[in-house]
Amino acid sequence: MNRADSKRLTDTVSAAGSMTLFLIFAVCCLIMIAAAASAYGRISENYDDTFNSAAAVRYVTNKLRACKGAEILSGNELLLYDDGYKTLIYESGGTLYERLLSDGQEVSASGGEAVFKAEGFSVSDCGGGLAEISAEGSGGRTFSAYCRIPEGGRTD
Amino acid sequence: MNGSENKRPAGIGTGYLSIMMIFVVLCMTMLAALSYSAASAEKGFSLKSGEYTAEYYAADLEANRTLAEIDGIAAEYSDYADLSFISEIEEMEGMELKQLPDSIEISWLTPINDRQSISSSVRYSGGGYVITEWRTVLTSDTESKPLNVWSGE
Amino acid sequence: MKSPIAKVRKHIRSNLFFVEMIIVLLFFSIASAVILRSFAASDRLAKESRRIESMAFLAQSAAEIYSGTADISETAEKLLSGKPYTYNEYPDGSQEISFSMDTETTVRLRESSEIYAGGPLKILEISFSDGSGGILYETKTGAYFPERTVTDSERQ
Repeated sequence: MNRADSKRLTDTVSAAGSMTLFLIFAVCCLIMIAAAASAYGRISENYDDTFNSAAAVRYVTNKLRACKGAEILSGNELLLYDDGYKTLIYESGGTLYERLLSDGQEVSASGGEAVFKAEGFSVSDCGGGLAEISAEGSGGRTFSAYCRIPEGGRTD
Repeated sequence: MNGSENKRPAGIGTGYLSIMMIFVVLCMTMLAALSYSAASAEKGFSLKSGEYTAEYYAADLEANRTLAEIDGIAAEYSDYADLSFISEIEEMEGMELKQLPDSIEISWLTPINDRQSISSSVRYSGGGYVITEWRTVLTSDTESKPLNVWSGE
Repeated sequence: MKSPIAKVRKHIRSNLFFVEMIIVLLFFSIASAVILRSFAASDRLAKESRRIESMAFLAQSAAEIYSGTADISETAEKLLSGKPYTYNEYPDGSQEISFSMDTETTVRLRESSEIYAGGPLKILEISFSDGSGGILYETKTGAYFPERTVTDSERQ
């Protein structure tokens, strides 16, 4: 091997070394970004759960505590009675809706105002005047709580 | 000058690494800031909700305590229209009495926090009481101040 | 043949790359450490919120069941639906039930009474503690069930 060949080989090895170092650094950067994005995704999923599914359960609980009477119409429909009006809370397509109805108005689960995103929202009668309100969060987390069903306030 | 001198040297040019690193660090910093703000907002909300739950049940206990006190007085009387029963109840703070033809209704408010209270009402007739109301009501100014909406005139 | 100036330039460029690499790696590792710490803090906050949420929902469920039954054992049975718990009775007449909510949190339900002329007011203290016994969350609720006949149909 003459001197020129040896020089070329040294240059090639040096370039390959620089390239490898650069590649390692690029891979490290990608891994870090992927890890950061995944951590952010997890935290943001939790955030969505808290401000949607868990908040929906709390909202319905507070509504039940504040009304005069309530009735579970079906697994995802709840009718709250107050003086002169009724409030229908129902879930449709993963969203919780609320609809105000006057006393004589027909109760139908449509045309309500979207309140929360709440997948798998359900209200079930557990007997003894208790209702179980639950909603599914992302990643299979379920939020559920018991609440007493008030019995007064019905006018029809 | 010969041709080999004009050729770019093999390898990575100076500055690319710094630019890449700045970009990656900026991305990660933004994600970290967003995560932290989301997590702290979530914690604040959870804390407030937890606090409210504790406040609500503490108020519920207080309302039950008031009910037990009222019922303790009522247990000594067979006739709830008795004037001394009425005056004893009236002596209790925050009691509202309503005399109905065959019964007496006693109402009181138990504060949950500075905005909400538990409004309780019991009706005494015959040998015992019926709870006619036990629900949360707004006690702050928001309820008394009407919303400035167009009334159609 | 390359001129000596070109040789020196190439040598400097190669050295510059390594110097830059070292500076970039140093800064990147410091920045990554700080950012990772921030992610860990966010993750810890999210975990704490999840825990607070679970505690508040569990406390609510226990309180709601208790306000309808005024019985600690019945409350635990309904709340845990068959899961094991520890029951203790104290000389002062109070009763205590404890169970694990998760690997780190212990729930304690303690029932006591206040005696009134009409009957006892039963009080349920619900507390959550961590492994070291520190209280994480607590609340109290009550149920008044007088010994006389009472129509309680509209109680919420």
